[in-house]
Amino acid sequence: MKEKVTYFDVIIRPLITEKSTSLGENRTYVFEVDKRVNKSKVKEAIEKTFNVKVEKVNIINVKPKPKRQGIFEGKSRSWKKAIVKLREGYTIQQLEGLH
Amino acid sequence: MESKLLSKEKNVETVKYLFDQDEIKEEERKVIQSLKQRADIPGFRKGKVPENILRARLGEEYIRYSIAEKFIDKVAQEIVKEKGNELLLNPFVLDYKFENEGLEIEFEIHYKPETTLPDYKKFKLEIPKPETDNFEKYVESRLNELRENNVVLEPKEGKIELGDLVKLNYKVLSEDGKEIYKSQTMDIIVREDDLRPIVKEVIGSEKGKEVVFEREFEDENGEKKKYTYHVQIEEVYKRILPNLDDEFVKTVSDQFKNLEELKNSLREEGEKLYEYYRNDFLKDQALNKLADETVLEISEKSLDRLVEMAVDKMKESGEYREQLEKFDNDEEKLKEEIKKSYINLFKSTYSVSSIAEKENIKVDDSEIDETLKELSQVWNVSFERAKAIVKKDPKLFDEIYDSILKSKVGKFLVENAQIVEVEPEAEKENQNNENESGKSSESDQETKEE
Repeated sequence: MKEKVTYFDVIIRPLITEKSTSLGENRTYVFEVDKRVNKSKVKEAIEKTFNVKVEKVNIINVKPKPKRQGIFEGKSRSWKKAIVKLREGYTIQQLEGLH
Repeated sequence: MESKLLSKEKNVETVKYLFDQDEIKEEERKVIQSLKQRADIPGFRKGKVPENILRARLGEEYIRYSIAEKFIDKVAQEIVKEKGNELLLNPFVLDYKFENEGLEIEFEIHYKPETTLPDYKKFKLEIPKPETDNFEKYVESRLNELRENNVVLEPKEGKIELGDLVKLNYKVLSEDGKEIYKSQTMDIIVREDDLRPIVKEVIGSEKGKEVVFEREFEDENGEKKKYTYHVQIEEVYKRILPNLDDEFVKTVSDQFKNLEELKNSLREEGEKLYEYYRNDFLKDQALNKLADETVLEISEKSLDRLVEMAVDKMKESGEYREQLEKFDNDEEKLKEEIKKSYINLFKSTYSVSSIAEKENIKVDDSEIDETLKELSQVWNVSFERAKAIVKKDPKLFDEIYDSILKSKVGKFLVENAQIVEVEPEAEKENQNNENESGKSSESDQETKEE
């Protein structure tokens, strides 16, 4: 049986980068999310966690990159990135200071 | 920026510097800009970190510390720029705090201590009266030296006696028969006052023979170990000292026709040497007296700082343990000794510079050049090279300058002093008394400082 992913399991961490901070000026925030979720789950999680309204969600599946440590070769992990745009008038207060 | 004198104790001032909010904001802007350029935060290129993220990452405490550091550097540089020559040490920061009005920084500034000079134009200096036959004794010793330098060596077959020259070599064996040292061929003169075992043991032996003797030494663990010396006598010479006559004088030098002329020249040499000795003796006495009688106004805070710095330097260079052992591993005793050295140094240095200033005694370039000419001979370089070495090293130049100035001030003190010739026995007693009173005047100085 597939494990159920509840909304508080969805968001793993916000991404604080140069690009995400510039997007932040347009009510757009970037998160790493659980790999099993889809756009609607992400929307639900954001709205319930931060008490906001979401206009749009874009998802990127970040592919693993080959890595090397000495003679050992491997790959970095794959993960899911969600770019979330909020509706007019909404902001995520907790991340405002970081954008 | 405002400053306010909080306290003054002898040569130490505690000063508070105040910066208002506008100055702080301006500096904060510069600090943030600088931190942005240097901060390495994941997800951001250097210089692209937004201010709020920078603040969140580094913390407000760190940013305030960076701002305070800038102001501290600024103030320290200004103090050194304004008062550089008057300072004994670089300024120390005691405390800083951000208040509503702005930033307050407390500095401890150590100035060069003031000195109270004694009446240096009325010194009484003592010199032992030269004994009447001193110059004759000098002439005699120089003539003996010339005879020794021109000795005639005659090979000898018989036993080795006092006065002979022996060519020998030796080896040293340890208790288990291992050879631990082998010497080159060396010459020794068998003299009565030479107490070395190798000299004593060869007396009575002959050319070609081997002399064996043992010696005992303590090793680093305090254990006694025996070593056997095997001395091989290669040649023995009888040393024939030339007769002191006019013929001898002619072989030694073509300047003199007879013994009387040589003696006169040596007598003059002795008198010149005595003059140098007399001048140096009186100069040293005058300078020591000056240092002893000068009163130094220096705060215990300055001395404590200097001692702390000296101990840190010793620890860095690895000398600390060695120095501590000299004082029975008592750090307090070591520190006390360092303190005394500093007090004596300052008394000596500042009293000399005060007198030089008052009496307009200066060191000119020709005097420095004269000293450099002497130094170039000691260093075995040309005069021009010596000059270049000193030019590159300001500390060395200062040392040379200070040394010449001290000598000139010493000369000045002697010229203005009352010089009394005393009997040699009385001079020894006076020196002992001075050493004891010197110790008590140091403790008086300490009491005054307290």
